Amino acid sequence: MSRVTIPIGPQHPLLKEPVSFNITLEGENVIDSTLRLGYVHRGIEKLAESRSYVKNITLFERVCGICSHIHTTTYCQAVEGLLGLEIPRRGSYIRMLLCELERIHSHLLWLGVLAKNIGLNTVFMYAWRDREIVLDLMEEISGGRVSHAINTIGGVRKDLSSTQAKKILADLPVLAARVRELLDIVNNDRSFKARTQGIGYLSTQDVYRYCVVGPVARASGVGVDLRRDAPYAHYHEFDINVITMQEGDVWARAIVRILETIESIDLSRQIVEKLPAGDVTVRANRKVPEGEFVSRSEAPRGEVIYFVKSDGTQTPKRVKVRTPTLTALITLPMQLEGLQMADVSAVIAGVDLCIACADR
Amino acid sequence: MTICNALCELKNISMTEEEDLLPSFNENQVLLASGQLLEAVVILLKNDVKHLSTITGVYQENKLQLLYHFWQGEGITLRVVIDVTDNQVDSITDLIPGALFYEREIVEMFGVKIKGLDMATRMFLPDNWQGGAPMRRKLEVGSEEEMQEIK
Repeated sequence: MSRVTIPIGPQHPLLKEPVSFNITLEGENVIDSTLRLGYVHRGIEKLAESRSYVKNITLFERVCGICSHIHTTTYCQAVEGLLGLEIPRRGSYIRMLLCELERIHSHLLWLGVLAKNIGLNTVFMYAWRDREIVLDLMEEISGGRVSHAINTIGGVRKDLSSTQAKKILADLPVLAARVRELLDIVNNDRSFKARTQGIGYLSTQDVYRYCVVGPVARASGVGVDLRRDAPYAHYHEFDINVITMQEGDVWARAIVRILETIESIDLSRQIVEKLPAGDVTVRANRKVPEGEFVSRSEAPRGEVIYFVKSDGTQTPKRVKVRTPTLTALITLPMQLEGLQMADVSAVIAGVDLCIACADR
Repeated sequence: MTICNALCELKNISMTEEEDLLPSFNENQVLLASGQLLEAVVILLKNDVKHLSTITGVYQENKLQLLYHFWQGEGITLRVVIDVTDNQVDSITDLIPGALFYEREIVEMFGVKIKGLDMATRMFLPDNWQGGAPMRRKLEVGSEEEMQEIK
């Protein structure tokens, strides 16, 4: 049978971000695939070497357009580590609250993208409608729906008022009820299951071999979550229930993400209810002592790490950003092999790619 | 215990046992010569330290170090000193296939040669990029010299 190579992207019919796939087909079946990154490479790591520590917060907020808050959180933690600063508990709680709301937002956005890619426009509309609730809450807290600009070295820039806290506590149960409806659809809808079950399979062994992290790893039975396993901020004060599944396919990834959303809604409620009194920020020195620091955190897509090297001035000598998508991308050709062309869109959406993160 | 055992074994092959010679760092670290990398990775894998978080290149005063950040409950970093004249290191993708994109990024950004890595096409930089390794460039970002070079 003759072979055909189909280029998909960089201007993408499946994703809103530029990445190029070359998919080789024999008949309807995928026999090979390659990918090319770099279309949104902005040289952020190099740029960071010429800006002060404070200015870099704005820069790292823009590494990702979805999980912007976790990037600044991880970066600030690294700089605070070098400074030997302990941020106030209230500030840390507000950081965690934004992290959890961002996780809910990211997972619902992903569910919408997956549903649209497999032709289930109703689920896409429901998921994105429900996501508005959490976006409104984040806007209420920080003033921004996606870029929050709330983190600073030494804490957060805005406090949470009691009116805001009440609104969060009132809106979260509404969101939880809607997410349970979405879980019901993913669990029981015949079309959804037919399009997602048994495709994009990744074994536990492969997760370890390819250093895959986050919900994709947890859907293949690897229960690692840095909030529980290497707690940062004040996550050690909460019980983190890590969701794992054994199936390792796109459907399992959907279930893991929706259950994680429900967990995050509950965690957000606990954070607001337990919110301690006090300051939200401490004064930080502009000059950072010489040394190196690695900070890790659990973004919606998995482990994010920031390496910061300081030479004792106001400007970092080196900042390295590692985003969770990069390793998931290596496994894509393996996941696609042997599938039919019609399933390619589901698998590509299933790993929750963030190309801006991967390119930096 | 896995990290602890691995660290003890790694200290035997390390270039220095003097903690003072290493920079202040918040995780476990071991200083290695580039030829010892594969041996060190084998030791880590044997002790069940499987997760490679990333590889960081640090270029300073014409010297390049590659930092292999591993994690298994706690972090452990292999600090590999790249020889200036040799400018190459072994690929670890045979042992850890997930290191592929990290290594490709290091090659493109720092211009170091990684033995055993297929670099037929570029992954991050444009195909027609002529400017050398971007992370080794000394020009200040946004400076007049840089703007002229871009023109």
